[in-house]
Amino acid sequence: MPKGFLSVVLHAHLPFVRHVDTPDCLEQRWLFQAITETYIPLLNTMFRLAEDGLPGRVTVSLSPPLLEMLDDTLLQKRYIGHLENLIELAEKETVRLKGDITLEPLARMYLSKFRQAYIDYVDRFKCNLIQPWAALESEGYVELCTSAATHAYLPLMLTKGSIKAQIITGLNTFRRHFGHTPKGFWLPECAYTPDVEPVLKHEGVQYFILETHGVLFSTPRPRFGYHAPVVTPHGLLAFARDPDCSKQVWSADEGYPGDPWYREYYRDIGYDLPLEYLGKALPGNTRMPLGIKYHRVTDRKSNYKDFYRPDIAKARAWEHAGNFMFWRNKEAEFWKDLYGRRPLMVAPYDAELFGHWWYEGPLFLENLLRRMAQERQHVRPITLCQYREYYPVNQPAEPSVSGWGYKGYHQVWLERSNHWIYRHLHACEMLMSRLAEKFKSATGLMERALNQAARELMLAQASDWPFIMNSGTVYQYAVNRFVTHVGRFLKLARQLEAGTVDPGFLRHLERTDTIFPDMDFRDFTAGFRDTEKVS
Amino acid sequence: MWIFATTIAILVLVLALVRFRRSTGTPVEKPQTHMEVSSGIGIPPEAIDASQAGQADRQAGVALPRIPPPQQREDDGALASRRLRKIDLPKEVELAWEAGGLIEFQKGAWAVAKDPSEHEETDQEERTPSSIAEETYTLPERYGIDRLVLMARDPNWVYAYWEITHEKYRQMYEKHLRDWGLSRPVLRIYELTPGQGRHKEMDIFVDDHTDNWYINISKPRQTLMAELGRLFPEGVFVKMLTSNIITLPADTVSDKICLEWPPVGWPEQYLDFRAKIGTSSPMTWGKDANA
Repeated sequence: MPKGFLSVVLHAHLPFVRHVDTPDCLEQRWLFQAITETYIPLLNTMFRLAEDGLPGRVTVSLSPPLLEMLDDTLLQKRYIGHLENLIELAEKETVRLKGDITLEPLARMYLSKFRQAYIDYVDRFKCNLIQPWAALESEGYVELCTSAATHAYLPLMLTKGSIKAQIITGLNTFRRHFGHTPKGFWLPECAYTPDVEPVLKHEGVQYFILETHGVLFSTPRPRFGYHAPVVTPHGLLAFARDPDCSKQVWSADEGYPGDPWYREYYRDIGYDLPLEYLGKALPGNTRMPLGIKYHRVTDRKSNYKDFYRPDIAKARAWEHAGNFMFWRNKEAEFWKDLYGRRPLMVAPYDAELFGHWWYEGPLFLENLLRRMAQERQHVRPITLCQYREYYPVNQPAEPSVSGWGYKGYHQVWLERSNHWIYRHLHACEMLMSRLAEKFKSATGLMERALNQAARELMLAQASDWPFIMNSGTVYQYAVNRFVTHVGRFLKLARQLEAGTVDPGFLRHLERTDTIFPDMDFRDFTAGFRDTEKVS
Repeated sequence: MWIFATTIAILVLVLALVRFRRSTGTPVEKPQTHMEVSSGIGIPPEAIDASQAGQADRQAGVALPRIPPPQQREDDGALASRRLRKIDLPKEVELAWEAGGLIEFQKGAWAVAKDPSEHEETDQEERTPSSIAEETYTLPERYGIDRLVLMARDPNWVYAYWEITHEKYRQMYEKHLRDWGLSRPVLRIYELTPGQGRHKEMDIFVDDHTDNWYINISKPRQTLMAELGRLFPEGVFVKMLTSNIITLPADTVSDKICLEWPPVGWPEQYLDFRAKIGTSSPMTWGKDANA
């Protein structure tokens, strides 16, 4: 019998970055890079494990905007074009570095990886990265779940109607792609507010994941700390993130990704080589990472970077997986003795960390899951739903409001750089609720306009915009996106109130913001009562 | 040695003569092949049919000729309304038409089917008129709602923003005209306790020209509400706006213990666990790692 359980949860999310009229839009590359570096490698990892008959038992959350983008033919075509440019560049690199004893093998490695990604994407997965996940789930190797419609930061929303619409639209998107309701729900940024529960309960969701203190600070005091879920007042299971699992991987100081032998993210030929040489692979002459990197971390405090050695990095990924396993075993033994009950360690991560930020991440994950399958380990991998089979009875408690951002609450999404967005968002929420109530039985053009207004509002509600404003990386882009979506929403709302919807404008918006084809604005109706909260 | 030299000289002369005769002679008629026809306007037809064409070319290292962008013709509307006849077409398009009917007409612009998949895209995108000129949006400063909204940021901080309509402001102003100049805007915070109603927690003197405030209150698990109003010299508080009700999150473990689930062997670290981790996002991680 194992002494404890480990549940790895990967949350994949990107904001909706489909720009119809600007094929070279830089932000679309977030998606393209994530596909090449994270989504395809993770799928390959899972399939390799499945072929060896090793149950990965990883829980994978795919956010609705990501599902919509992966399913979008225009973006699929653009991705192929992007990959072609990248292959061309990698070919040029092999020529440029011919004879270089350290760099030529690296250039060849990238070339073969990109070519393999092309073959995987086009021939193996037929440009569809959703179906393989469904196949893995039906075979029982992974468990899938999803998140709020546009990954809105739920505790900072004003009306219950908006929270409800975000959750229901997210779940409906998942149902449309996978044909069933997910058992779990990924709260965006693990941000919890009690208001999400009635909706999740109503929709048939069984569990969600919180930041450690969301469960640890729950009322009454949880008997098993963060090593067991609590049953919320609505009968859902709330799991807690294990702080040690997080720290070993996330921490910038002591986390594995900072190892000197791992690939350095910020030394990229997109920054280092002349623009005219990079050519098509870097449209718009804005420097950004391209995914061809020849250096390793070396020393995080210094700018001196040595060349990357894939063989050593690979060995390190194996060692780190062993180290991670070692501590999980120790932890399981310790808590098992203390509690008399096998502890559950939940290890949720952003999927994009594996591969995109931490190049060796997928390898680490594969090694970890392989090691865990060995007999002598005390820790067994399970999906969160399986926990119930072992321990059907759990302590009832009210979880505490929390989030997994900096300092554990909402500070990242509500501070000096981004607090101005909420007065607009809240006003739009109230407006949307009012419109939805007023035109409940609308049909035809009016209905289309209301659905599009709902789409625009949801796109404005994405937690990515305040997050980017806070981190300051592409501040202007986030502001533009936010202002544009709110502006479009308000324009539609004005037209709706006046009863004169401009079909040309509506068609333009329907063609631009194509997310959620099955959107139903009536999901916003219940929020109407809440507008009285503010008077 | 000299024999070699003469041979080479003769050879060169002969070659030059042949070339000269070619260039001055009657022009050789170019054969009309598919390749010749379509090279100007698209890719070879045989490449269009095969769905694997792109890949074959990539493997052979052949760069596909680029298609000229669809040219918008001036008589846009007229062309769209009636069916196009062959005679309307530019010469090279007509040739390509005969080469295999590769041409698609959409809204007056002509486009050559480049690739089956590409074709779908143009079809989808050009049926609707290409993007209408959309204004650059500016967000309204006011929404015409009287509102005061509290947002619990963490156990210690509350963010408040508000909006007072001109009507409301004028109404209040006219009612309290006499002392208005002596009054000050105040944000009054109340604590709500079940069974005890509400009581005033603090007054914050805000500015007339501000519309938001960060309130440092440090009352974990406390339920709060607020009112925005004006404080007059006699100590009279005139309420203008009432807020929503919020509850601050917890910052430590609960004192309540359920007898059925008594905590066992709680280590000290639980008790002063103050959300130490809170590192989550790759962007934050990357930033830290870079710093």
